[in-house]
Amino acid sequence: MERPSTRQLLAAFGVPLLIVIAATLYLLIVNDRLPEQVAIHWGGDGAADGFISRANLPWFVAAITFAVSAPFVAISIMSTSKSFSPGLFHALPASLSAFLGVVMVLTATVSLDSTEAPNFPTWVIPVSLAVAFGAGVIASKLAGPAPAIADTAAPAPSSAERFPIPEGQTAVWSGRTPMGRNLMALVAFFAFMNIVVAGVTSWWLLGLVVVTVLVILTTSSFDVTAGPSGVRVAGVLGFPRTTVPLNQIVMAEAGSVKAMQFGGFGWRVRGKGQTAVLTRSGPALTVTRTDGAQLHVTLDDPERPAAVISALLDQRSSV
Amino acid sequence: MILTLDLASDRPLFNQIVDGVKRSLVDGKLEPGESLPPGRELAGALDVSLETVQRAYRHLADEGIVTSRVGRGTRVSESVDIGEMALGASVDEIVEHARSVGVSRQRLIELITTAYG
Repeated sequence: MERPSTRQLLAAFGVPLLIVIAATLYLLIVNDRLPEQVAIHWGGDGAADGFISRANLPWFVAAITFAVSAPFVAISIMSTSKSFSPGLFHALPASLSAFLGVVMVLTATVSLDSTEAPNFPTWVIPVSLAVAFGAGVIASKLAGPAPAIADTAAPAPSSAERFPIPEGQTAVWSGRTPMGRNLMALVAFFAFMNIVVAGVTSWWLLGLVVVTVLVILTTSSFDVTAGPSGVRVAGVLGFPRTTVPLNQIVMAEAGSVKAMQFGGFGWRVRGKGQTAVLTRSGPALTVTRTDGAQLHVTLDDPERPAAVISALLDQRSSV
Repeated sequence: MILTLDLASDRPLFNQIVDGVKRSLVDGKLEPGESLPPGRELAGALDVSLETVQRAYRHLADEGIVTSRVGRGTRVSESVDIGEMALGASVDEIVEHARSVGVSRQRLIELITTAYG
C-alpha cells in the first residue's frame, strides 16, 4: 500500500481527532454546570432512562466517538491508495465522529444548570446530521484531489473475448447488480430487530434505524454500464458512484468473487487497491486500471460487459 | 442490454438510441419487463446529453415500447409486440433500399401488394 499524503492523513485521522478533542474539552469546561448524573439514553416517551456521572461523561464521549469512528479511519487511510471513490471514504470518519460528538455535546448542553434531566431534544438529530454533512465535505476538500492515473491506449489482452462491434460504431452494455438473497435476508433481519429494539427503547432511534435501512438499501443494488466512457457503477439513487474511464482500463474480465474476501457486502475496500461492489458471492466483472487497482462488481453475466470493454479497448488502440 | 450506435452517422442520436433499444428487443438481448438503464447512466456511458436519452425514452414510451414510472425507472412494456417491431425494422430496411435504388413509393406498394398475394 502506498503511503497516504499528509493531507489525506489529516482528513482521515486529524478531523475526527479534532472533533473528539473539541467535544471532550467542551464537556470538561462545562462539567461543573452539568447535573451530577447526565442523561445518555432516552425511552420511547423521550424521557431519560440511562445516565452517567458528569465526571465520566467527557471520557465516555471521547471513547465512544473514537471507537465507532476508528474502523472508518482505517478504511479511509487504506482507500487513499488507488481508491475508486476517495471522496466518500475521506468523508466517512469525519461525518461519523461529527454526528456522534455533536449529539453527545448538544444533549449534554440542554441539561446545563439544571438539576433534572430534560427530555430528548429532537432538534438535535437534524442539527447533528447537518454538521456531519459539513464535516464530511471539509474532510473531502482537505484530502485534496485524487492522484492522477496514467492513461493507456493499449488493446485488450489477446485472450479476451470480444463483443463484435461493427466498423465505425460503438456499443454500451448496461445492467444491474443482482439482489443477493443472503443480503436481503440480512437487511430484513437487521431492520426487524432494530425496529423492535428501537420501538421498545427510543422512538427517535426508530427514525435513525429507518434512515440506516434506507442507506443500506440504496447500496444493495447498483446500476452498471460499460461503454465508450468506461465502466460506471452507481447506487440506485445515483450514490455512491464511481467511473473507471476507458483510457485508464488495461483489462476487463469475467471472474468470481467471494464476499468474505472483502469482509461482507456493499461497497467494500481492501488494501492494495482492491475495491468491490458486492451484492452476493459469485460471478463478477473485474476491471483493472493502469495503476494496478481493481474494481470488482457482482453481475449475473459479467462476460458481456467484459467483452464490450475489450472490443472498445481494441477500437481505441486502433485510432 | 447492449446498444450499438453509430455516433458518426447523420441520424439523430436519440433515433439511434430508439433503434438500439428496438434492435436489442428483436435480438432477444432485452426482454419485456426488463429495466432500461437510468437516463443519466446511459447518457454518461455514451457521453451524450441527458436530454438526448430522455428524448429517446419519451419516444419509446409514446410508441408503447417502454413505460416509465417514478421509483421503478423505465421498463420494457410487458405487452410489447416484438414480432411486429421486427417486421417494422425490416420494412424500414426495404424502404431505405427502395430509395437507394430509385424505386418510387407507389412502385414499392405495388411490389409489396404483388408479393403479399
